[in-house]
Amino acid sequence: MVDSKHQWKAWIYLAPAVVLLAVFTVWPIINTVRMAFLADYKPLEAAGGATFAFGIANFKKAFAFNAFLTCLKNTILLCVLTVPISTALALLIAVALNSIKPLQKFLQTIFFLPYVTNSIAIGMVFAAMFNIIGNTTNLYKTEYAIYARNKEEQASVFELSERDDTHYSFVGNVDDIYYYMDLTTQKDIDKCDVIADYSGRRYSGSSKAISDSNVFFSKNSNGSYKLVATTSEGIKYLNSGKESSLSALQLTSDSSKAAEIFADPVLNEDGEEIGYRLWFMQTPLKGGDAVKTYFTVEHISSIASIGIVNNLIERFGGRRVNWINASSSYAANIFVMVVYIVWNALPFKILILMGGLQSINKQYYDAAKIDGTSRRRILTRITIPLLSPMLAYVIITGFIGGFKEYTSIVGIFGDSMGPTGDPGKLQTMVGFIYDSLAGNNYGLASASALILFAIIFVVTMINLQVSKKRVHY
Amino acid sequence: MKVVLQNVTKIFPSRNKKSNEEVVAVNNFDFTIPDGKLVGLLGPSGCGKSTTLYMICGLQKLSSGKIFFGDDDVTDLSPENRGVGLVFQNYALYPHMTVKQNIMFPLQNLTGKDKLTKEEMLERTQEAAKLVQIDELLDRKPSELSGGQQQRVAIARALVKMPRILLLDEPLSNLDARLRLQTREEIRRIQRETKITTIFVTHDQEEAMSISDVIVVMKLGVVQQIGAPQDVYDSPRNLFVAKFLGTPPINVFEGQIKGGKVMIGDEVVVTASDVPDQKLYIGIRPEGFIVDPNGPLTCNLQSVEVMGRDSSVVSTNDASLNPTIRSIIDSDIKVAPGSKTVNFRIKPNKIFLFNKETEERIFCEVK
Repeated sequence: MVDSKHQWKAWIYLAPAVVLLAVFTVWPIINTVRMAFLADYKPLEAAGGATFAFGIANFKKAFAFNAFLTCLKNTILLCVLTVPISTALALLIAVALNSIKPLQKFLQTIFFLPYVTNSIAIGMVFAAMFNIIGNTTNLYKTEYAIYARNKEEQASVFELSERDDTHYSFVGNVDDIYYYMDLTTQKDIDKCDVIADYSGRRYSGSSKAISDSNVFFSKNSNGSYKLVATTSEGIKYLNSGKESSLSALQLTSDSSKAAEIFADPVLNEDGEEIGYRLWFMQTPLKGGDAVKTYFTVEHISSIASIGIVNNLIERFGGRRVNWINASSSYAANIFVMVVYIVWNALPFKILILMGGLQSINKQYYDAAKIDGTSRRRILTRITIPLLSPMLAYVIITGFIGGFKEYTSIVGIFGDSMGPTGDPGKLQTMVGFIYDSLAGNNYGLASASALILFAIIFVVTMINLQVSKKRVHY
Repeated sequence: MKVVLQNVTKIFPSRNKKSNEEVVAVNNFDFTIPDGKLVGLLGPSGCGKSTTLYMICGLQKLSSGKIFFGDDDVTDLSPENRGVGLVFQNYALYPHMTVKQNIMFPLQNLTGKDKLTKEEMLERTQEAAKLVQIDELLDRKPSELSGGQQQRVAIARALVKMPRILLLDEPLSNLDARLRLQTREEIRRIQRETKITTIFVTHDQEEAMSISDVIVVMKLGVVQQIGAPQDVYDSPRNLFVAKFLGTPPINVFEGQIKGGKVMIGDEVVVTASDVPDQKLYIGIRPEGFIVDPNGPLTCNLQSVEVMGRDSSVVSTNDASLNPTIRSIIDSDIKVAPGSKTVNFRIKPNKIFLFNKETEERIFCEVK
């Protein structure tokens, strides 16, 4: 005990820490509680002397908010799914790691790597792995077929006639008209030259203006040529070297109004759009009625499974799943999140459990061995009970971390917190608090923070109660 | 069940990759442990006694040699198939289980035709608990037991599956002095009742001598002497065994024999007629000294420690290898207080002569 005469000295020594803690920890907590109970709190107005009504309006507002309830559901679902899975997996991996001698240190390092890697970066890698639509350069080579059809829907006539690393050529024949399309890539499809030969004449144009695309040509009735491209930004076409944007469904005629090209979406049996069909009317050289000629761009072999996960699924004969792209299902989104969060949570848990395992006296295992205990019984009757303090720690911190899940969602879905076209679908509590703050809604953010705190508090208390009975210290 | 160790050798590979020195923990151990006996493996730390025990129970593999239980070759059997019970030095009781669960654990592991019903398990557990007198404590956790009680639980756990051989690794080292006395009696009693061949390891010679039927003295992996405790004490084969057994330890002097006269310094203490002249180590047990003013061995008196039943005279002599000479004498015999020297006569059966090079005992008739 410090002599009361010298107590002031002790306080001076403590002062820097006390001041810092008070300003940056204690006051923000108090202020959060205060703001949560003030309706429509605005810090600037508060500084100007304005007063706000006291009450639980913010909490009511939070619970009335559909987005808030979505966040609550997402957060709880992720927590309940990921904590048991990651703990069980970490336990198995730790036990396995602990029982091997060679490569133990090496594997330990491998398993620990995710811990020291940025979670946003990992999220982006996972997003790529679960993607369904990837880079068009790849698509062009393997995933698309080009058809030209006449009105009788006769066989596809465009065939890939040449192919190497830098050069593609498609040759086709529709109603005795010879078409020839030449794509000379310079690895980058943006820089492809497109040469269209119509009825023996060769036209050439550059597709530089056209970003990653599939390129077609057609003939206008006045004999000039037209290049049409489907790109990720829609359909574009080149006419006499001039580019203009066209709507996806209808190509308007060019400025001369001399020819018209039309595009229809091509749907698969599920009604998903898998490509475009471009068509125009043309008159055969040998004379006769104008016929409708199609050029169809469509994804053969079920769209583009660029993501490694869908690739693997298809390799083993499964059907691709729309994991995280536009109009993906909630279950698929949650599945991806669970995989990612579990993978991300493993290293810390393995580390803690390995430490716990190594502190278990080896003689317990010798004793069990002499008594002829099976491996499973050793795990369930000896290892797990003796590891229970560590398991309790890992589970409790896992739940706390799970309720604060936020960056993992950003990592995979970006800050829209949901797949394209459905922002906020996977929003979590912490994300909701951030958004409220960004929206200058301090009261709502504070109230949500307190609700989150209450949930974590209750869950931790339950955890501690359960572990009191189950954990052997 | 007798245990036969045939040329058992254990070599540990070098830890240090550069030096490549192998450690021979047990060297050519050859011994038959008779059925139903209590055998003590005795030696200083690092002598290979625990390694021998672990090889018998199967936790360590032999480098060469063979082990038989009765007529069964168990050399390549895994521990669970050998039918041994092992009591660990720190007991290795499962801390999360009650005493009952601990004792029952080996029974629950039995599968196939050996599988027991719940009632049989409980009965056997009760039986084992009663044998070691802990049947009152079955519902406690190990942490709620004293060291001696934990020891008993460990023994009960080892006995409950009725092992062919019971092995104890330093069974008394974690107990306080008083409990140690009590527990070693207990081990003796249990062994007598169950008649299970029991091997235990200790570095405490008193413990080994007090309860063993046979003791095996080991040093650096090599067996030094095997025999009944009293025989080994009374007739050590070499200087190491003589020094290792007995408290207070044997007093060792440098001396010589000349014309059959055994001399410490210039004083002739005993005669051994048929030994050629040579330099010697002379070992004299503390109880081999008799205070006699006319005795041949003169020592400088340092102090007299009175222990009630007898006294311990502490003295010094230039020829002594021990810093002080300890002799135990009857407390009736008084050493004159204030005297600077004390003279001893030596009992001929308490003096041993050792070759100075080999440190082997020179067996001869001493008068």
